[in-house]
Amino acid sequence: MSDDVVGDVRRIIELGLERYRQGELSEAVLEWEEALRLDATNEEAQRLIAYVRDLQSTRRTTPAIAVVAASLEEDWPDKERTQPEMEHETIERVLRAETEAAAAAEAADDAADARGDDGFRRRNTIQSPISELLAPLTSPGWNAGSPTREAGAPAAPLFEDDTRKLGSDQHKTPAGRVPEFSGARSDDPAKEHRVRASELVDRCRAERHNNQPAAAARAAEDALRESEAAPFPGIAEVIEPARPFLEQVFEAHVGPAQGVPAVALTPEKMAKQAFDHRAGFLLSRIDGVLNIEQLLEISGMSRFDTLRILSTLLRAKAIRLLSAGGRRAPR
Amino acid sequence: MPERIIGIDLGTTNSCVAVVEGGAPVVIPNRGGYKTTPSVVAISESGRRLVGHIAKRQSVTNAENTAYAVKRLIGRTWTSAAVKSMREGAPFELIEGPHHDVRVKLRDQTFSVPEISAFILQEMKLIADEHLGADVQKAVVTVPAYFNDSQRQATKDAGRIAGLDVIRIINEPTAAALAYGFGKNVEGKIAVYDLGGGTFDISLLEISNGVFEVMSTAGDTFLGGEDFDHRVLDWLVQGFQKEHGIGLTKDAMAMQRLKDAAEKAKCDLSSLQEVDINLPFITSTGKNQALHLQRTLSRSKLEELTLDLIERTVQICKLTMEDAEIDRADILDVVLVGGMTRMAKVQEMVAEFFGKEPCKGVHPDEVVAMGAAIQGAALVDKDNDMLLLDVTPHSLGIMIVGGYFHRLIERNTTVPTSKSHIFTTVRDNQTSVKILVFQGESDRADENELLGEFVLSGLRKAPRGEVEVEVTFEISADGIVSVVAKDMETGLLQSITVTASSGLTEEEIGRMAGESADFMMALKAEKEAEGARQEIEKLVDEADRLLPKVEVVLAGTPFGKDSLGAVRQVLSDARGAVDRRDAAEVERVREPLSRTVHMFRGLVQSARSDQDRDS
Repeated sequence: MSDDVVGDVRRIIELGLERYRQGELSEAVLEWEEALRLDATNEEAQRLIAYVRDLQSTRRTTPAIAVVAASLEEDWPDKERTQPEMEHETIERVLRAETEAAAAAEAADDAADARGDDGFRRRNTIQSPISELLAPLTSPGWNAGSPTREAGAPAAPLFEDDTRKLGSDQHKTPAGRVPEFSGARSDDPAKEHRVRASELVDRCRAERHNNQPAAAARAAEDALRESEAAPFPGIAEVIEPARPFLEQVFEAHVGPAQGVPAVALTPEKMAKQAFDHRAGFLLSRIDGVLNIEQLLEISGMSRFDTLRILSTLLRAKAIRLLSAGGRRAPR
Repeated sequence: MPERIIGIDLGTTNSCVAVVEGGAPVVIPNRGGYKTTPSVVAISESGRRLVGHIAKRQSVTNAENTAYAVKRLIGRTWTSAAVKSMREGAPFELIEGPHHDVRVKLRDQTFSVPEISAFILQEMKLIADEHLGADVQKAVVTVPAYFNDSQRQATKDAGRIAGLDVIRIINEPTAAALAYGFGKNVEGKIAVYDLGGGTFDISLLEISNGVFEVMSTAGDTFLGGEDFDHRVLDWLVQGFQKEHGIGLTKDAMAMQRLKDAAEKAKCDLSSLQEVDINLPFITSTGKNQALHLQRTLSRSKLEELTLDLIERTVQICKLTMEDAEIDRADILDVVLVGGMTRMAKVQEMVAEFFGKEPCKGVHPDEVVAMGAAIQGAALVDKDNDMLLLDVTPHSLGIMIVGGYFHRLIERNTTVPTSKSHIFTTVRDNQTSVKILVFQGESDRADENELLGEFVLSGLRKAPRGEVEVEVTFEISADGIVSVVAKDMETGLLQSITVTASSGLTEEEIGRMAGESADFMMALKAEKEAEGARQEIEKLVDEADRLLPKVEVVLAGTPFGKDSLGAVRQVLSDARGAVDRRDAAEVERVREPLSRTVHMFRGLVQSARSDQDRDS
């Protein structure tokens, strides 16, 4: 395949992602199908289409999600929502409390950074209630009449009617309930990673909104790690649309392009860090002379990867940032 | 104050710039504080041009788009041996130019060799401009003694493209000798042993009455410090393979780090007996575990790894001395040039060969640039009585019967000059003669460089040796060679004018110089815009810090709310301009932001004074 075609495919996939972000799911699928016409083997386009189709089928069963969503807040507005909206809002509300705690911790961290503190401090791990709350949504058989189900949930026949209207009752169990929600993809081994990554991306947005660059970068990094740890088919549909945003998060954390990073650890301490060879390479280019912009040029890696590694090195305090004039760069 | 002329040592692997200040030559450090700048040019993935250290630091990971050692190519034709050798060994692509010259392809752009050299010269000019606080216009640039007219002309063209008027090209050993003899009254023969990053040259010079003459020069254009680095690199790679069973040669990032570390270790061993080489996270295993490379390299091990390379240089010295029929005892002093000569083993073997300790009074990396600066200063100093001669670097002549080379103008002849010689026909009834003009030092014409040819016809039919043809060579002050053949009987003339060519037309040079000037303008504008952005960022930072205090001061005042609203708008505009990197907007917000911060400072100061008074 020529470079031109590869470029076209990439562009079309990006267009589709843009449509997806606008909520235009069918149009997004059309774009990705166009990409597949150019490159039938493109796994990214295949995965994105599969995901959105699942999502669309999920929307047809929206009331089922509403059951869980409504259970989380009694005054849940009576309007029709899409699954992403509801997931997002649910997470947002739960996150709010959690964010305040996290923000306080990260603010302390950022403040310490601003003071130029060296050395390490132990950071408290924030226990998130999200996983627990979303467990019914994400675990297999979440809607199978579990005793943990909220008392206020609508009765099962609602589902039964819906499924019958579609002309099929093959999903009906002896107990009269729908056993599996296809959108939840209970057989999908990447499901938990998908949920956690979504949470983390949302947390990242919240931290960014609260002007906590270090905390936002941490959440972004964690989301990416979830993505990397996810088994096939991966969770590209979560990470890829968020990638431009995550890049902005890393960029904001790393600071101005004219900032000059310098190595902040002794070789002995550095060797004890859990970095990979790419971080090692970038560290070897950092000499207290080259600035961020120049490092991006010479890293031999993509801009995204370079910013991500720089952010990781900053958070690990393996490097510190100087401005071009030797002043600590604003973060 | 006389005009400042900079001296540039445009090296194969590193370049250096110097200027005479307060009567003495000084080397100008670059922005990183280094006195030499790698002669490396790269185009990054984003299309940005990288020159010097930054280009070198990515030379392995972006090998196909990084040009180095282009000095080996300058002024050469596509079919020359040096070009063939580079085509086989260099990772960047070389293509044939429209005039049988060489072009370098970096990403989607094609550059002539003088253009690449111009980027390096431009960088050296920038270093000098910043140091001197002025726009330097003129330079003396050094070239190897063996460079022919085309190579010298190409170097001059590179200067033009870079926006520099190269007022003189001088031989590197001559420049080294000038710096060596600076402030001394040296008379006699000296040897200049130049082991640089990519090439080795040995030159024998005679200094007499202030005239520096290169008597003999030889060398190896593919032998230098990089070969020493490769030996260390191989040793590191093999050691790692042995220890971990992992080969690193296919890992570009690891190889880049190893190459840098090898060079650094080699340099450090010039002053230390052993060095530790630590490269953490050099590679990752399949289990996602990073491995570190840790080794100790001793000076004796380095010598063991590179002994044959040093021996090669000594062998070349031996042959050159024999060819020039100069006895080692006649050598007054040995001047060391090039960073590699700091290696103790090199100094030891040079001392052993010449039978005397080499001169250590000059800095090997800087001596050539300093010599060029000395010559540059002398050229504009009317009180300086130093004799500076522009000479022909090679002998000029024609091919005669049997394929031999007949010299009309010997090398090192001061220009302008003119010389004639009468030749006769070699065959009976010969009615025409073909004049083949060559440049070089070999007695065989075909081993020299052909500059041009023409035919003088209409000669009288006569037995051989009867018809006489006078051939006159003339070199103008601009280095233009004219050759005229005249039938002595009829006065019939035929001539050719040979102008040294770099392989570029006048139009091409003009266009490249224009592009280069545009690039510099854009660079300057970008720099100014960046300065303005940084200033705005600082002002916004200060305003943010002062704002809470100002809010307290203005609270309750009748104009507080409106003023603060306007101030917030100014701050918001400023942040937006910086984020968008909008130069025009940055310029627009600078003044109101500056006024705002000034006002803030005044308010906070006055509030503080009030508090102090109250307390």
